Amino acid sequence: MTLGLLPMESGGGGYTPPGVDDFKWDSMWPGVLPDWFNKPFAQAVIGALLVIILWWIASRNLKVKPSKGQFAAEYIYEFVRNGIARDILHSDFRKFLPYLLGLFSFLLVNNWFGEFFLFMYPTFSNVGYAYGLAILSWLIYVGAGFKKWGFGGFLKKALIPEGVPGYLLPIVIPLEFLATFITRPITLALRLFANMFAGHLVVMVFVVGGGFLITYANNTFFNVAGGVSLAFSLVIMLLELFIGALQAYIFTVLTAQYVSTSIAEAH
Amino acid sequence: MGTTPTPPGDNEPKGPTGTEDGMVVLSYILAGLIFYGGLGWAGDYFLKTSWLLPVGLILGLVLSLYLIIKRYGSGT
Repeated sequence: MTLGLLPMESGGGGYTPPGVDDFKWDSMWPGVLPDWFNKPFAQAVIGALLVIILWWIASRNLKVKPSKGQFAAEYIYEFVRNGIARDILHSDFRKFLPYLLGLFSFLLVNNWFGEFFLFMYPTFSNVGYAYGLAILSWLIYVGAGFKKWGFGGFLKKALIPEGVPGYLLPIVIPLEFLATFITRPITLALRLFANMFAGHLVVMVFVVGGGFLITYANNTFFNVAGGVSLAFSLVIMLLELFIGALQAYIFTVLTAQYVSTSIAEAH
Repeated sequence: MGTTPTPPGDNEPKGPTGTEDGMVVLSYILAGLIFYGGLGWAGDYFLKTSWLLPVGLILGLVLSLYLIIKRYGSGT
């Protein structure tokens, strides 16, 4: 029995490590449904339906003495309302609360799809979906600014920082424009996408590699290592549950923060 | 502050502030690097020089930091 040190080295052994190709999906029903009807798309639709149905159920039959389900729903609602919306937007929070709550629950559900049976794939590890949500948030905070200050008023507020001497304005205004209108949504989307992509990739490395080692013929050492790797993938998935919730929270907080800088009075 | 009942969190030590300010300024830093670094790159490309890109990157970073200090650092 030879004890190869690198059984998963590319080339020999027939092991293909997980990679970018595992994030590409074909049509769910080739030939019948179009190409864009793939797994992430179905998950996004299911996630949206779940969010709508769960909040619809949660908002019916409210009792003064809450049941367990109502308690959980109210806990999440209050977390978004008090912890995010009211803390950041102060007196204007009511107008934006529905969007923030929907955004948070949609992100949470879709991120946790990465750890749940049947799905096992976080929707936002496809960058297009992250861009879509970022564009929606962009429309909300830019729209809120234009609505409150008018077209010129918002541009003036967003592009001309206070306390900057006039001769510096020409070199500073392009930066303000880029920061407010271009890099904000991009960083918003890429932060979410990269976290979900990397997390899913790490889980796949442990699962695929563990599965390869545990079925390796005539080598008990590899089999044990594969078993440990598979068990450890469960720990990584717990970590991913946490990261999914954290990224949903960060995306929501940043959206609220951008809205707040759009509509806040000058200080 | 005053007698009007303000919700908790309206005072100075706000709950989540801090972390998200750090993430907001990221977009400023990127904007500075991209814009003036891009101008420097374009200058190098058309003038056949090789020192404008680093100068542009540094200038952009400095301007970004200046803007961040102006926006977030003044007394609030």
